[in-house]
Amino acid sequence: MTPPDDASAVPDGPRPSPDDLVDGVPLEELVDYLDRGREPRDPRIEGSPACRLALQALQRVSELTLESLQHEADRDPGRDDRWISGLMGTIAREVVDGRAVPLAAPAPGVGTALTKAAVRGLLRRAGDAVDGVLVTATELVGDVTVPEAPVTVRLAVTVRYGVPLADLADALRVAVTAALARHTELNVVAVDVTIADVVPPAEEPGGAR
Amino acid sequence: MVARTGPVRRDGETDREDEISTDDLLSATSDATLAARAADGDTRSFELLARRHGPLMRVVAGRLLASDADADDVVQDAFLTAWHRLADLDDPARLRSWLLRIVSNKSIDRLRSRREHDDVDEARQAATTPAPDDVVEARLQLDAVWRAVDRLPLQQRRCWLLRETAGWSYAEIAEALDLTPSTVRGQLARARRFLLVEMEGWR
Amino acid sequence: MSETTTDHGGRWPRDDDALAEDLTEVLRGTPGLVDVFDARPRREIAAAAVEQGVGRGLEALGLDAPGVDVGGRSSGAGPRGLVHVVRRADGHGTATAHVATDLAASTPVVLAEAAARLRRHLADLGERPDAWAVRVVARLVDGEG
Repeated sequence: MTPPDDASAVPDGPRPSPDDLVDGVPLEELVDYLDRGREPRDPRIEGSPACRLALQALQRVSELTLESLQHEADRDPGRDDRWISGLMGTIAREVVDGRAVPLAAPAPGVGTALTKAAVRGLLRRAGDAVDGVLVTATELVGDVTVPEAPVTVRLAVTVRYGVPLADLADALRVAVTAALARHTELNVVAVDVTIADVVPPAEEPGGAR
Repeated sequence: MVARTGPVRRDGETDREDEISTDDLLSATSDATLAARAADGDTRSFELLARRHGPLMRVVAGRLLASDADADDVVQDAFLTAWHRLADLDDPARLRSWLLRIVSNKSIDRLRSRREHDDVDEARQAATTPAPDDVVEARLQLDAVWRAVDRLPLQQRRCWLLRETAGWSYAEIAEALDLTPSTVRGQLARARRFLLVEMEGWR
Repeated sequence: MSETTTDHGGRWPRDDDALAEDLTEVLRGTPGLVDVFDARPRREIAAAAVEQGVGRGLEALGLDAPGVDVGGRSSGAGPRGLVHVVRRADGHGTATAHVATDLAASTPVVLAEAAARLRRHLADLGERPDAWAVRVVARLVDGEG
């Protein structure tokens, strides 16, 4: 069957046609009904097997659209490598976070520091090294620009189900404190850990939509 | 992976083993977790999201623009925007829908700028889009649907994709494509009718 | 090329490019330093890509973007002068470097050593030590440990 007319010939509204009626209900009405999430329930539609079948078909054609595009996308695995590299290169070259975490001047006329982003990366790294943990958010509370000023580290983590939680917080504290001691001069007075999520042992890729 | 009670690593050191397993773990991680890490500044997590969803975005852009060449530009730009706006994402679990929205917005921007600059003759542009491979018989329904969507006239295809992939309203589609909302409805009705027949016909 | 009176103390900008390249190479030898990012502001990167002598014209072209620094990891194939060198008319100067340090090392130690190497090189070139401010910033702590 050939596709319908070109767009340029289209009148202002859908052309009425006997094909558009399902058990006396216009297809457009079924479309709108589906868009509304089938609420409020319409007994005329829900009571008609033909209408319910049509609703199923409408649902299916929507799902298949996206699925077919994903299927096409999956066919050529290396196809996107180039623009993805370009993207990551651009991101790497971007504005350096202006807020730096300073270190004591090693000599007159010399200033050394880490960026806040570097420190957050360190925190993620330290936390990820704890088995079954993925760090999802990091925060430094306190004035990081003042030497010796007390700083609290806040971490939000995702934990794999089964990992003992009591030991976890301690392990994270040890890891984080050690990393910051090695790479910064921050005076870390506390490490607060929030367990944001517990996930099953084999989490599915793609996750929830 | 065996659950240990913590590595008690000295001085922030990590094993090579842990390096590998973190990356493995990341590849199998949900969109929501990756999006949260990316919002925290983790470029590695963002790259994994780009690899996971980028191909679909690129295909959608390609179909909206009727140009595979422009698609790469548009999708790269879309992900760059996404990187900057991650903090705006209310529900990280709805990452894919959010990305689809961004990429379709960028595609429409590109279409608009083509119109303004009168750069490309749209009909010619549509004609030069490579046709799907008709030589190979479509063994999968998905292939058949892909080809059917591709056989829609350009205007109908755009309306259909904006509606079905990115959830645009009739008013939004109308404004983007310079049509009236009732024309959009008409285009969608035609596209839907054609696709329903194609879908049924395959069975 | 003619000498001009610019903010470079009478020296041609190309000298500073050469200095930036030298300083970048000096940095790379620092133990515990795994990479050098581009610390130059965007307008300098644009200038390096354009023929010399445009000078203030860049500002007129709107390529002067205050507060926006663009730095990326050097791939080796691109510009080699990644240290941002600014020389003032009074002979003072600043050298700023953005680097990645090794996870297994101690960042403060690495940065201090890197800065020391930069200062030594400047001294070797005959620059007055108290006339230069050196800044080394770690943008990333990386590596396998």
